[in-house]
Amino acid sequence: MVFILIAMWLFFRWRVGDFYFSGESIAKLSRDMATWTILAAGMTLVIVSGNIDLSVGSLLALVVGTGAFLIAPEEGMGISAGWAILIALLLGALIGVYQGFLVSYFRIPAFIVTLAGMFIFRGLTQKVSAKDPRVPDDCCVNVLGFSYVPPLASWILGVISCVILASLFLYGYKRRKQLGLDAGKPVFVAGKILLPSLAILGFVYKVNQYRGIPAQTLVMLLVMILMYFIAKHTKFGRHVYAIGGNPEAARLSGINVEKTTILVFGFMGFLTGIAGLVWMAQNQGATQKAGEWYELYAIAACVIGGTSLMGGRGSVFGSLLGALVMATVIQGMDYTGLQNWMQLVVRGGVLAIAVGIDVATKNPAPWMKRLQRTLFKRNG
Amino acid sequence: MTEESAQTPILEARDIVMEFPGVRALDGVSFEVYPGEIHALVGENGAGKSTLIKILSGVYPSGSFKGGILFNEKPVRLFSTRDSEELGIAVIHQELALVKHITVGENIFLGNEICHYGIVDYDLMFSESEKIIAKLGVTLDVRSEVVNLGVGMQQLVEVAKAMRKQCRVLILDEPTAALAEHEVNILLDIVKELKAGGAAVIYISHKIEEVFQIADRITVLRDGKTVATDPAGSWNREKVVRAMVGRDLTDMFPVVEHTPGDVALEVRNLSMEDPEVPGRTLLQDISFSVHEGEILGIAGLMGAGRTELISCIFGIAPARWEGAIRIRGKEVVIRNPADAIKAGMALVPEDRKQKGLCLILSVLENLSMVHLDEFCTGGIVDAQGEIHSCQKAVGELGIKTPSLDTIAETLSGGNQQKMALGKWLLSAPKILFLDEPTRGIDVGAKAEIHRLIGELTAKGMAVVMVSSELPEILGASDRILVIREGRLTGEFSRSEATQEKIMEVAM
Repeated sequence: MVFILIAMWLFFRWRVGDFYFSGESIAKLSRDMATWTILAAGMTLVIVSGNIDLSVGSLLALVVGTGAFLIAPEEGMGISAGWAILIALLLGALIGVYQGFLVSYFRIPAFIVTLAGMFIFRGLTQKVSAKDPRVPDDCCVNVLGFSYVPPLASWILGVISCVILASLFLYGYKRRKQLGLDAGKPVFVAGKILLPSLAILGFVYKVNQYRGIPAQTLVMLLVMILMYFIAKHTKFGRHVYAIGGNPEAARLSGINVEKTTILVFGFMGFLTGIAGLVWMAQNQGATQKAGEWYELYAIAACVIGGTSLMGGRGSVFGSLLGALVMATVIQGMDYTGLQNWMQLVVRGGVLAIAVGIDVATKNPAPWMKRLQRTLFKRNG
Repeated sequence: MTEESAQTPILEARDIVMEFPGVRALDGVSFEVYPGEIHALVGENGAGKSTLIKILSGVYPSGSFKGGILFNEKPVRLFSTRDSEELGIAVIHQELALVKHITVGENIFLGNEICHYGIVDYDLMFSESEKIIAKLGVTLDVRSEVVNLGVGMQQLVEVAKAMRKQCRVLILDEPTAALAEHEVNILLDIVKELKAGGAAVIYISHKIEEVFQIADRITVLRDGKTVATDPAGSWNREKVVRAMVGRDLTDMFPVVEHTPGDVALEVRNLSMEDPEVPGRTLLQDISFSVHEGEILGIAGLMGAGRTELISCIFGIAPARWEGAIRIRGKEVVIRNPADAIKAGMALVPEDRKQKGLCLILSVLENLSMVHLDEFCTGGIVDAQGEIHSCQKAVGELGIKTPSLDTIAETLSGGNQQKMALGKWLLSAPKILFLDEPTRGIDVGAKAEIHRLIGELTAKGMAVVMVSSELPEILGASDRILVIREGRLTGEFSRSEATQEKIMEVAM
């Protein structure tokens, strides 16, 4: 996946020119993908648990619409932004819980529950966002929109995260040695610390050439880190993988499948709320068409990142990479000035090809194996 | 069948070498089967039986292995199962390959539906199916969905499917693993009849008694090599086992005199209605108790209600039930498996693939699934502590796995079963339920699992074991209960129990 990404970057660098690797371009890339990448983080859990959520795009629109309606002094109610944020987040989480409840206790397939949700929430959005409510310029929500962490603070953040990363790895290394486990070669541990650190610092260096880390990007990264941690290192996260792997075995192992499913959808709803606030800040208000196609971007990002639609397999980090692939394609095509209809075709093509390559390397079809063998024989 | 045709093998494999990354699964194996012969293939799991079958049936295409296949003395190259089917080679796999929600008749003709211009002729298909089923000598509605049949009947549908293809070579891979005693006999009779009709049969089974009952010749494989091929008459049980494991299997069931302690679990007047047929009882007024440090065997035919009984106690009853469960004298209410686990119970279910394990997850994730709390503080998992415990468990249980991150699916049946058991042992339960603990696993792994069970019992665990294999029940249990049609019909101590006595009350 990383190779595909690098290849695409080099390709667009060649097509677009120097501007492509500039700080501004990178900041924009990371900023524009924020909303639906946050959705992809939640979607990873949903898909790993063996479900799917088609309603997130519509739910995002509903959250945006409700939030903007509550804040907007002219078109809406004009209540304080703090309350509006709280209500918007709660709305997302509650709807998520409600959908999870339908899936787990009423045994309606998630595909159907969320397909219904997709219609329902879009319909409600059309009502609340009928007048396209605007958020006033001085509203505190806008911080999430077009503000930046100043360069110095960005450097400090970058260095701090590198230090935390290094200490976590070193702690794990020490603990393993203590318990007499295979700790891995020090070279690999050093590599595991150095490579991501270089990526982080490189990113900070680049965006500082522009205006610093965009606020949306920061929110996105925090969400990704949080969800990565939840998926990998908490009991809840492990239970999600278990019920996705085999719900029957998970139940017999004493895992409350229903509760876990509800929580998964609850998280998804809550993250949709956060993504909605970011969207609202970016657009300074709501529209009826907010978040269109986002559910599909989120699902595409997960799938490109190696999450199995059958459940049980996938990672948040993979989804971040998948989201980067999608974002790179979208941005790159904008720069090269491809026509709109062509962009959609390419997006679909990239999705199919990326997943195709992934499957071909992990679980090739018999004819592929045969082809590999014949090719290999001829060369060797 | 003339004498001459019996002289030339219908299917022959010569010097097959098959390599997977890191393992040589088959190392120069030659194997042949004659028309009108039942040739049994035995060996431990991982000995190479399945690999050989997959080569003979075209699952592993020609070119992926070294060596040759001859059909009627002519070399053939099989690239897919389609090629082998065309030659008349039919395989009945251990895991049934039937489509559950279509009818028996449709299954029999699956992939070869009788069509006129692309339109299926159901009447003809069903009448043909009926003819085939009649030949098998069983009564079965060809219009009923497969999912409504028991495992035994489903197995027979597989045989019917093979007969429809007019197979000349029939390969049966562990066909009786899931069958009850009388169903096994029906199947064996049918196989014998096919043989009398001139078909060549390759028969794979872990059940040695069965092999002797049916086979003309026996080939033993070990570690990808042929140990010996000889007429069945020149083998005996001990010889086969020795050839399989390469050593004398002195004690499959360690006869340890357990000293039962206090009553660990007591079940009083347990009754349950049949979830499918209202008004019919599936379990009727069952009472029993298990002591600490005792192995209680539960025998009975398939469908007698053994699994349902355990399910009720473990909180996964398929229907409403009545009765009382007491643990060490205290009455408990068990609504779900989580309650049962809290009460100190553990269940290794009958079907490790469907219910016991998450096959697509790693060894580590499977082992720590039940007792994840042991490594959690505030819901956060201590990864290193988890790895440490699981590594210890892997060592103690003797699970052969390249690493903790290995996907469970890739391990052999025996190792999977050890995992299904091991996941409960990270924090020792008080009462352990085992449903068919050694189904479909090889003799060596069987012995190891029984050694483990014996050790746990000696430490004071109460064990309840359900098994369809009478030798296992007789060998391992301190006390035996027999269930027939949902009723307790017999109880024997280890000294008084015999195969005959048990069957008498079970039938």
